[in-house]
Amino acid sequence: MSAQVEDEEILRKFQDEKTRNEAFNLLLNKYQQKIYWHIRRMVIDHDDADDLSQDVFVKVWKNLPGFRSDAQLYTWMYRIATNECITFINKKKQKNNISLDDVAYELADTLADSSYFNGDQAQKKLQQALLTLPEKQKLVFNMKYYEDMKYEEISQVLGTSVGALKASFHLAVKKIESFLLAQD
Amino acid sequence: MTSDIENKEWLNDYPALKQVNKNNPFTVPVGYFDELGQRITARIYLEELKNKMPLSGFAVPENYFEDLNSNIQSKVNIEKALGTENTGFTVPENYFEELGSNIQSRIFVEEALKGDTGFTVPENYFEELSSNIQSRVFVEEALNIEHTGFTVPENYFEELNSQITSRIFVEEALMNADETLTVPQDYFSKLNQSILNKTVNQVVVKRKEAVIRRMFSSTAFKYATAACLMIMAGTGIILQRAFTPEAIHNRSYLHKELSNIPVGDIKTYLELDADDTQHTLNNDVDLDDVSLDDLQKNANGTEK
Repeated sequence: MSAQVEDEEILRKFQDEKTRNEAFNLLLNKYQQKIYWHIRRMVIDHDDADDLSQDVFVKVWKNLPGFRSDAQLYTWMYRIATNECITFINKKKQKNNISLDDVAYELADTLADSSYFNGDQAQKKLQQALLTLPEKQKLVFNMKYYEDMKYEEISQVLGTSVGALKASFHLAVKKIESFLLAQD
Repeated sequence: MTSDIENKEWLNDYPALKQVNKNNPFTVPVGYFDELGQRITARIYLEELKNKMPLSGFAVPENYFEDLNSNIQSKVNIEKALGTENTGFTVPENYFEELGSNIQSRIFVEEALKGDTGFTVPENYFEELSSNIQSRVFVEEALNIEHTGFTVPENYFEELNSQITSRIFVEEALMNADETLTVPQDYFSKLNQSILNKTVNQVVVKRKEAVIRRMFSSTAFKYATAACLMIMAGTGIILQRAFTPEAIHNRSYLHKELSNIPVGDIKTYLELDADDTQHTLNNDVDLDDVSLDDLQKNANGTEK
């Protein structure tokens, strides 16, 4: 895969002090949008996604010298982004002392008020259905549905077995289908 | 991140989801991703700068924080010392200039006195003092224990507890008995006042002036008494006479009827009926024995 080669190129350049900034710019150009959309689908709000994207890449910069090449670079970055999202949602829940369902309602309001959402009614319903899912099912669905990632790749990101991921995905899709049918 | 064939087949089982447009419905501000890389780079630069210079470019002298605590304490002590100059206390003139020599002189005198106090003790006095004191204490304790001079009956202390308990019980019982006797309400408060009124406040109490009448020495009383006595004596005599057998006979119906009969008729009657009454006269009173005077008296008495 050309992307993997490029990852190797990026990593090689990052090891050299002289080309480190260049390597990081290549990494940003390649993954910033993927990471951003991965985060955005989880936190819905653009500003939150912007802050979290910057946090993720700052962590990537700090920890990339210790990165072991036995894992793929993008799955490693996805894992960082996923952890940042979950931490953010949990903090939001604790800060406002509200349940996960209340967080979902709040995110649904954000979705309704957001000026950076131009989807049609069906897409909006789908996002609302996704907000009713547990975090892990939502992550699995997003990575499978929107990003066409393989179960093996999702497994590396979430640290969960492929079988468990398939079950989670199946449950998520059934819930979404029921939600969409119920809304019609 | 290539999609496999399974990813597209599963969607056929969910028609509602399949109808949803799979395109990304979210948008970002215009030019956001063009600037995102620069902003992330700037953020990383700031993070590194913060790590390199945690004090934001400011520096402190070497070992400043290590010495800071002691410096502050020294400053506080100095401030305290300066603050004592104006406490209101004063010392004689040149006190502190002469203080050193005065102290030294005092020390010299003290040492001189310690050297020869003029008093002496027997040889080895202090060496034996401790054992002597202990022996004395032992003797005193032995004497106190064995010969106090006082004795108590046998088993006195063994029975003392029960005796005290019994005494307390009796005292309490007596106290309770006293408590059962009651006095009227405010008795003692009134009693005090009453006693005072009868003793100390006697002069104060106003009494009505009494009129003393000497009944026995008055003339009227004497006459009344004599009259009563006369009435009582007269009444007694009258009653005595009224209830004599003769008086009762005189008041009887027979006497009244007989007294209305003339004496002659009675004599005639008695003489005519002598035969009929002979027997009776013989048994009772002999008519001849009755004198005419008695008959006359009797007749007069009935007439009256």
